[in-house]
Amino acid sequence: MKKIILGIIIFISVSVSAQVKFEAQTDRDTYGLNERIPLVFSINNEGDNFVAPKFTGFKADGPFINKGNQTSITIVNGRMTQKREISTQVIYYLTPTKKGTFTIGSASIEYNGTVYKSQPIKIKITDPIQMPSYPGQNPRQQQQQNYNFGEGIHLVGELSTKNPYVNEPVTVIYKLYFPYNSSVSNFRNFQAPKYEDFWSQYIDIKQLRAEKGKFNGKDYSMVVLRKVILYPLEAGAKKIEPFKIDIDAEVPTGRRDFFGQYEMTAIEKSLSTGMQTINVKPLPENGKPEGFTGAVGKFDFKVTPSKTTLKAGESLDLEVSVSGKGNLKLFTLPKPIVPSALEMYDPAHNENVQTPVTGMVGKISDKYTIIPQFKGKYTIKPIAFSYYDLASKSYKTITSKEIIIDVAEGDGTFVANTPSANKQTIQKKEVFQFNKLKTEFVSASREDFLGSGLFYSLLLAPLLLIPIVMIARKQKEAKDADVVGNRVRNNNRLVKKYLSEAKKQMGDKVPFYMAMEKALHNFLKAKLHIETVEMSKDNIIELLQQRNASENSINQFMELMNDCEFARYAPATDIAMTNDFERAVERISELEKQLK
Amino acid sequence: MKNKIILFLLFLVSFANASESIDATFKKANDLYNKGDYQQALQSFESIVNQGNESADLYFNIANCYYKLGKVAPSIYNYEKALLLNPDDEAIQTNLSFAQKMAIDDIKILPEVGFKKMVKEFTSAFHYDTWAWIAVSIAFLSLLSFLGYYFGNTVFLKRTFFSLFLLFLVGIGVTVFSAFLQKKFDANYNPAIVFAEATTLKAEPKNSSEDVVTLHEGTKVFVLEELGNWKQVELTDKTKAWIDKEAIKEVKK
Repeated sequence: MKKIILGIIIFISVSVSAQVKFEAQTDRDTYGLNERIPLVFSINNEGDNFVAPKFTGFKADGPFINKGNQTSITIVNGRMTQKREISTQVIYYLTPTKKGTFTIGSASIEYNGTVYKSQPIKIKITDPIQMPSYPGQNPRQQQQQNYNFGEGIHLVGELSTKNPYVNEPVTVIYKLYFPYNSSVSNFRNFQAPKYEDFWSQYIDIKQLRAEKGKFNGKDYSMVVLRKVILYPLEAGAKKIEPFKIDIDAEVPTGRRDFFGQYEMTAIEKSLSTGMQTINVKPLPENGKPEGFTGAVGKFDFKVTPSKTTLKAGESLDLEVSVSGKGNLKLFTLPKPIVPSALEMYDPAHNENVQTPVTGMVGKISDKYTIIPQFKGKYTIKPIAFSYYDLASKSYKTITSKEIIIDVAEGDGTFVANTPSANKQTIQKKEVFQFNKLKTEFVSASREDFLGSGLFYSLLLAPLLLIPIVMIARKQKEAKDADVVGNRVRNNNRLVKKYLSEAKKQMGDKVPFYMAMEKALHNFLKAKLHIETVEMSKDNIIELLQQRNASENSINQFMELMNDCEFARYAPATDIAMTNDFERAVERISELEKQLK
Repeated sequence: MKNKIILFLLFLVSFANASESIDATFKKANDLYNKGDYQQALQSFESIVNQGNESADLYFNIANCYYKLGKVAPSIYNYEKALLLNPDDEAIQTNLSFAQKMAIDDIKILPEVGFKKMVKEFTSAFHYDTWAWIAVSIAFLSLLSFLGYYFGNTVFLKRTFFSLFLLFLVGIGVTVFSAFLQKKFDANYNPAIVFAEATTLKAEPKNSSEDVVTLHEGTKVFVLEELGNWKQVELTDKTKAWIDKEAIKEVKK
């Protein structure tokens, strides 16, 4: 009723001015805590993109939209003017939640591309006021509205643990407790927190069922509203925001009605759990294995190849799987390391995980497709998977067995589409070579030849020999050039030669004296530089005298020469021969001295 | 004097005995290998190495044993050792490529380019000791050709021998240079094999440094420097980084 009146008033005021007006209005400035406040945003045209302000301190119902259409016809002096007015209203009903003065900010609306803003409104909320009584209403009941009914209804969030490890599951069960003599209905406006820093999963509750429960030592009826599993993602004190809900409840007024039954009253109630804090402990650093990816729980780890013997170019599947109980969706599986000759493709990830209240259970796996490119025996290294075991509070590592893949020669139909260009391509015919059966061992600690003394001497010897050869030849040539000296040397040599021959022939008369004669001749040739043809006795004596030989020596030498000449034809004894030989040696050495 | 001779004879006998038993061990080990008892064969082969002997074939056989036992790093390590002694052996190269396929890392091999590569290719034709012997023989040839020139009695002979002499002199220069260059290259060529299952290479020789790359067992690297517990290595793709000293084993040691 009030609303309509207000509307008419607005319409009238709007029709006065032609321009676009956007206003916010309440019917009063002051309200009691128990009153409802109609707040009207109105525009004298059609608007778009209405943005409501924040209603701090109020609970708002709405928006309700009214659209108006007014045509006014004016006849002045027989002329008719027709005017059409369009108006739009957006209405909220506000329920104050506490006392005080509140300002409701500007709302905005768009019309024809222009944004219009309403003026802020101040509202003062005072103590609850006495409502005007309507006929037929029990004044007592009016009074009861001031009482806080539904004191006995509680909303509680129960945590399975307040002190979990990172990645240890925490179950939160939201329960509503209410006294036996009350009933609750019409659960609405579920406001669940966002659970920041947690991985969360709701567990569906198909049907809400009231059970018996105890709260603060008293018996209550209890309804489980929601179950949530949380996995804390990081350590620290983490806050869980309140869970809020609105319900309708029928609660006893504490009075009996006319028939002696408990008088019940329907109330609307907003419930909220308090702010809760979970203190998440970090996993111990002590003994944390390398390659720990955050798995917490109890797991089994398996690496299974689909086959281990195959031909080059065929494919095999390698399944890396973890099964068990724990934060299965929250860690990554270890990646196998394979030789580069095995081409490995990105894995297909498969999750088969159920989430009951106690936490995730199931199996996750990565399936790798591997295509060996070449014949050979390849080893897939053992893969280690580590997790933190909550039961024993320690890290556990499961290591898979080493897998040996035996690849036979392909049948030739396979063409390596991505040959690893950096590898030496093995020709198809090439096979692994057998051991060498023969060898020659050398000492492992042998010396270098290069740089050794032997190396340098062998290298330089021929080069040094070159000048030596040159010098030698020079000297030989010089000697060759010296004709006289050569003759002297030659004759001296012959003297010695014939003397020694004579000594050999001692006792054999003819050869002995011939050798003696030759020796003496050659001696003269050497000393006097004469030829055989010049060898007359006079000549010899003259030359010897010129060379300062003593008369005595000359005479003795000539005597010896004569004796030798005659002895060849005269009989001679061995003693005479020895005598003559000694004389010859004596004379030669004597003359040698004198002819210096 | 007599004692010394006896000692010498004893030494000769014992030496002969020793080498005989090595050959016998080698044969026995090969029989074991053929029967499939790779572990025992490996032990026998290793015992020959422990006596201070080596040969490309011995290392090759050891590597084969490791390959059959599925041990990547020791297998590649011994193939590389065999290749050092006999770089042109095809059987070693083939089996090495088999072993390398078992390795996990696949690192690009960037070829060397330009003049340095040409020089390297030339000098690596022979071991540096072989180069040294070639230089010595060319020196003697040059002496002979000099003598030919010096004592040659016709103009033609003199000319021929003189040009040969000059040629051989140049030859000595080239071979000696190659020998020393090859020795230097050889000293700078320090291949090593990663033995650790996985190891992270760092940008600087300290644990807190930035990670460069993670290598796995069997990968070949080249050692450049050493500092404390770290060794600077170059990968075949020319990446340089520091590796934990314990993670690798140098082929030449």
